[in-house]
Amino acid sequence: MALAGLAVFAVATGAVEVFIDATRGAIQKIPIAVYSFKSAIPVPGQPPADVLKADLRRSLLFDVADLERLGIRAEVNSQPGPEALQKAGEAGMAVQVWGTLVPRGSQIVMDGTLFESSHGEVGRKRYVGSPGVVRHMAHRLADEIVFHYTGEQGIARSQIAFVSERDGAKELFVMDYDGYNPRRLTFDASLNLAPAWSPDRRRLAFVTYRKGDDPQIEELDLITGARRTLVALPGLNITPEWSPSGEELAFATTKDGNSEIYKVDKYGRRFERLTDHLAADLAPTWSPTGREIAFTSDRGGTPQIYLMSADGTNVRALTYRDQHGSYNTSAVWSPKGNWIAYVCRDERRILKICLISPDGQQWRQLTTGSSNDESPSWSADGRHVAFSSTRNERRDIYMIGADGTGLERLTTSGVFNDDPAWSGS
Amino acid sequence: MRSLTGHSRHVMVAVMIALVGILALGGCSKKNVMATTEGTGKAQEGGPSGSGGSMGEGGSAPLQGFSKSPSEESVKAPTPPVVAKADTAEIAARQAREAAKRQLADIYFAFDKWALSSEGMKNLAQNSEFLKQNPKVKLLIEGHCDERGSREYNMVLGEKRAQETRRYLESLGVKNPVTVTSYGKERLVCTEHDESCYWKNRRAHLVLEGEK
Repeated sequence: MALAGLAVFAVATGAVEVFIDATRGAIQKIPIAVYSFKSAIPVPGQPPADVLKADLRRSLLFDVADLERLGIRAEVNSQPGPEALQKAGEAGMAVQVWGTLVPRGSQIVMDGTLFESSHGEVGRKRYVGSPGVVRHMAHRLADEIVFHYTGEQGIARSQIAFVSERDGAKELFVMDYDGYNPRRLTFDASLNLAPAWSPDRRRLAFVTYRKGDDPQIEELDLITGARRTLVALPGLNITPEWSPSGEELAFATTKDGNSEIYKVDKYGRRFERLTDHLAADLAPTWSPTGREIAFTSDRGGTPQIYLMSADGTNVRALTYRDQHGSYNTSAVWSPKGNWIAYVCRDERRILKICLISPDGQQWRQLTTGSSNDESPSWSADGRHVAFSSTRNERRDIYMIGADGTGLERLTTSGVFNDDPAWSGS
Repeated sequence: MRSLTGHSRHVMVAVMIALVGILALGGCSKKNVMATTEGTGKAQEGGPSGSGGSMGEGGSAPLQGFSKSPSEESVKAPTPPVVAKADTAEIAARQAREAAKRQLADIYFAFDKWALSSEGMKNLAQNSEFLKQNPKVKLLIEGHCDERGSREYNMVLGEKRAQETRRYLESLGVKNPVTVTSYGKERLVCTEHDESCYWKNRRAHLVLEGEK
């Protein structure tokens, strides 16, 4: 019955979208045992069972057992013996996983088995690829296990795009969701900022200064490498964000004399103005249904978060100066709909990450301490937020659970890593 | 196995949920669709090789579920193999333009504010004389901010500072061609995390281009 709580129900009631996320609260995690993967040859990098265990822990759905503490040998010869399976079952491990790695020419074949203590073998997976992708085989196995128990795609194969400083320029990079495998995408010797994934993970929209004084919004196709200008209106063109359907891009432009929010179709042709105010409106973010947009506006004197319908009507405040502080910006709507993360500034003038429910009823400061934290971005499962922080002197990218647990540092190279954008699953 | 009764019930429910999930995916039986080029190790960077290679849906093939007799799935690194081709002529032209720029004294602003200070107005009045005497000089006004604002909002705060500067110069009778932009906090001139640097970063930077 605890597992039934994993389902997320969306209920639309009038103008405000209400999402009941039953994942919150005291969810009972599934106890799982992961045995070491027997390998016939040495495989470079982290052992795949460790990659898998980290993925399962990060899913927040599994309680990954320390087998040695239970008196069970984690090292197994191709598969655990009946006694080990029995013992782990009796210790409460509802699910058990093991695997093997076998060379085939220059390739590696990974077999993984999913076993339930009460039912026996559920099924197996077989992956083949180069030794360099054993990590990704483990990520894929983790997502299959998450999918098996929740019907959700899992986040172990997701990617995080980010901005990193190189020779005084800011360039786009992308890495695996756990910080491995960083790759540089641009070599423009300019400022490339604010990457935004298309929902199909094929394209990144971003802000670039490479054409001159005015920042434009450009798109990079991650399959072909083709780049094209999406928005080059006179003035600043900033804060792009794809709609959940991928058909439209919301952004802010100063072409009308002050910053207003527009949307444009995915071809960069048909523009529609959404806000009309003498104050600055910027940083739009879509609700998962695409029917609502949250944004930043200083129409009340200081920057605060507002909501509107996706056609620009029904504008109302979500954060208030007297309740939530004088400076709240850069909202990002969780893909599950239940939270909006944003940058809040405390009385010390330090930037932190805060969460508010779209109905304004729940609020919480997600990050603490004296570091400047900003640029929040949600994982597809709505259970994690990536952000940038100065907590270890340099600016780096971190992730944290939406419940405030499980802080992890993701970038360790360079001196300035910022603006994380977490892909869909 | 007595202690497992509760868990077995969970697992049964879970299987039902998984079935719903699989049904929802409907006929998703594509095999071996993922084909990206191979990745690099941690902390290595790909070079600007522009290597080609095909790739599935942004690098992530659909999940297929567990099976007693699983088909073989080909796994490739999900990182994009592409590099956005840099325009070397564009970079060279930009760098040449940067080198040719001349600068006037920066105008400074109070924390979170875009209104000009009396000192800022005084400095602009001095600048205005030069600009009026050289009406063909092009003026670029860049707005900048300190690091205590958010990356996004600082973009418009910098723009407001630059616009305020432009308006004041025009009120003084300056008729030079003026362009306005903002760099938010993307180009700090000073990087210490205290007021010794903050005030230097909260600035309108006036750049001159073209003939005198």
